[in-house]
Amino acid sequence: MFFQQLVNGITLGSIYALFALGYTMVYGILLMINFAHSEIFMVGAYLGFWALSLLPVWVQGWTPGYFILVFAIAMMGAGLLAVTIERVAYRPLRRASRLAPLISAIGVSIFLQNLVQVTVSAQSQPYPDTFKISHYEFFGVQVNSLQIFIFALAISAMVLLQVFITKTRLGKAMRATAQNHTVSQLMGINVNFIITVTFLIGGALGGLAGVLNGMYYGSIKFNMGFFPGLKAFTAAVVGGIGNIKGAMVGGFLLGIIEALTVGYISSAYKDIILFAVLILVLIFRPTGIFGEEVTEKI
Amino acid sequence: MKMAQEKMLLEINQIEVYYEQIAALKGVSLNLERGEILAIIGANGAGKTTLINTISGVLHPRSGSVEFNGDPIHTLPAWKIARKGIMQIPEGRKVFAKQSVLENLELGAYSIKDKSAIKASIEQMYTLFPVLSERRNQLAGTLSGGEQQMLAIARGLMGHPELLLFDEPSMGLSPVMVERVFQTIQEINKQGITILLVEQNAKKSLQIANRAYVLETGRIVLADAAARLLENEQVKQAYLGG
Ligand SMILES: Nc1ncnc2c1ncn2[C@@H]1O[C@H](COP(=O)(O)OP(=O)(O)O)[C@@H](O)[C@H]1O
Ligand SMILES: [Mg+2]
Repeated sequence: MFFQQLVNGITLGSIYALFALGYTMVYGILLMINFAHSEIFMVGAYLGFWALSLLPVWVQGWTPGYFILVFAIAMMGAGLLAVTIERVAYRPLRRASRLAPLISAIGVSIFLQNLVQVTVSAQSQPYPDTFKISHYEFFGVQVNSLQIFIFALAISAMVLLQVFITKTRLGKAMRATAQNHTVSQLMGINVNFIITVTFLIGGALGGLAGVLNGMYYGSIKFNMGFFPGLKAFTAAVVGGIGNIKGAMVGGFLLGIIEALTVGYISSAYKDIILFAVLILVLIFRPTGIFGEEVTEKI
Repeated sequence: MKMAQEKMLLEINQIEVYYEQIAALKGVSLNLERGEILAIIGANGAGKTTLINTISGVLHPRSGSVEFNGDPIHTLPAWKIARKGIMQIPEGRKVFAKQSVLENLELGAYSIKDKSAIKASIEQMYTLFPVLSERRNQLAGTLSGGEQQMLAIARGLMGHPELLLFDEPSMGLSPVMVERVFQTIQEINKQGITILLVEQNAKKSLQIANRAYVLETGRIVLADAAARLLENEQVKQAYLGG
């Protein structure tokens, strides 16, 4: 039972971790909670849905390339949506009070949910089950190929992100910008461009999480981002918001806690336990596992 | 193509700089000749940081102009000005504390495209400041104040500046380190880099500068050769402890 729930939790955690990265990266750069990120996740899931159902048969035949194409479409689309949201709804408010972009983000979130509800569907829709699922058993623990696929994809994306931010010129500039915008500009870094790249990457990872979520649960809906979004945000806070490793660890931790609650207590309690974790962290360790003092970015 | 190089590297003409409604610079003009060390001395709150940040493009003047090599730059964003060859060593050093010494140097060279030139500059910085070589993989936040100042200077040099702006580099340093910093500024100037030095430490600044201006509450009140300002009664009274 324990190991079975651990496998389920790691799968869930893979999705939360990818999702949480977008919250934490944006917070790290702008000290702002991007409440519209849950809708980027949702739109990513829809883009994957359309790509999976609408791509011509001759493309669907070639499995690896087909999946790469589906994920590329969903990630690019979600990334560009995140960049657009920043340009339209946050950048004009950069010098306003901290509350203004927060409210703007909630507005964007409501707008996108309603847009999808009205123009696409108000009902949940089954996700195309093009992924061939095979089941394996190791020492009595059930693992299926979709779980392995989700975990492998999430880990690869996280390793790539880690390499990007620690080894590349742009990644190093991104970490510098997270520490001090003014001094970064004095180095010749175009901070607005760094912010765009941050939204692009965070949005793409959110879109990836959305597609994986759709594939795992088998259905999507216009409001599908809400609860997972709260959990991913919780994961980011538990890990230490603004900290990239923290979001990854927090995501897996939350996925595992959720799965264990479902397994040992009751699925009715899973959200109660998760948000209790959030409250406890906020009370006893408000900076999260890897968090540090909040620094001024102006 | 430009004709013969202009003599003036930087020309500031009647700039007024505001924070909201408060004027911090009230019509400041100054010239910087190619190759010199120019000192701006002034007490706390005189507007020294405001001046240096206006040159760097962090702040923009409400009126007046800043010309670098004959081109107006006062409307450009800070990152473009850095790429034109004006680097700033900010007040309080402001190294990237959560990144390594080496990464700080690489960030200084952000506008340099040539990778081998960056490598060569890093080696130069390690020669100039051996302590940075020893600590290359250490987080910048773990360095002492003096070491951080060395790193901040090296980071500025990594951008291959034509003009280097120093905002109170001696602030909060031990007398030995202060000595070291002023020596370093002179050495950098000998390499052909023009220096604008803003300081409260008037004595040391006037000793190494060619010319100097005195800034008081947003206005230039005196301008002369540094050696003559050292003898000026008014300056002695106000800035050199009588
Ligand atoms: N961010 C700011 N907002 C409002 N006023 C400021 C700000 N920064 C500086 N000032 C004011 O502008 C004046 C000049 O400040 P500054 O340029 O920092 O002086 P200095 O560097 O010579 O100590 C001071 O009166 C200071 O209070
Ligand atoms: Mg100052």
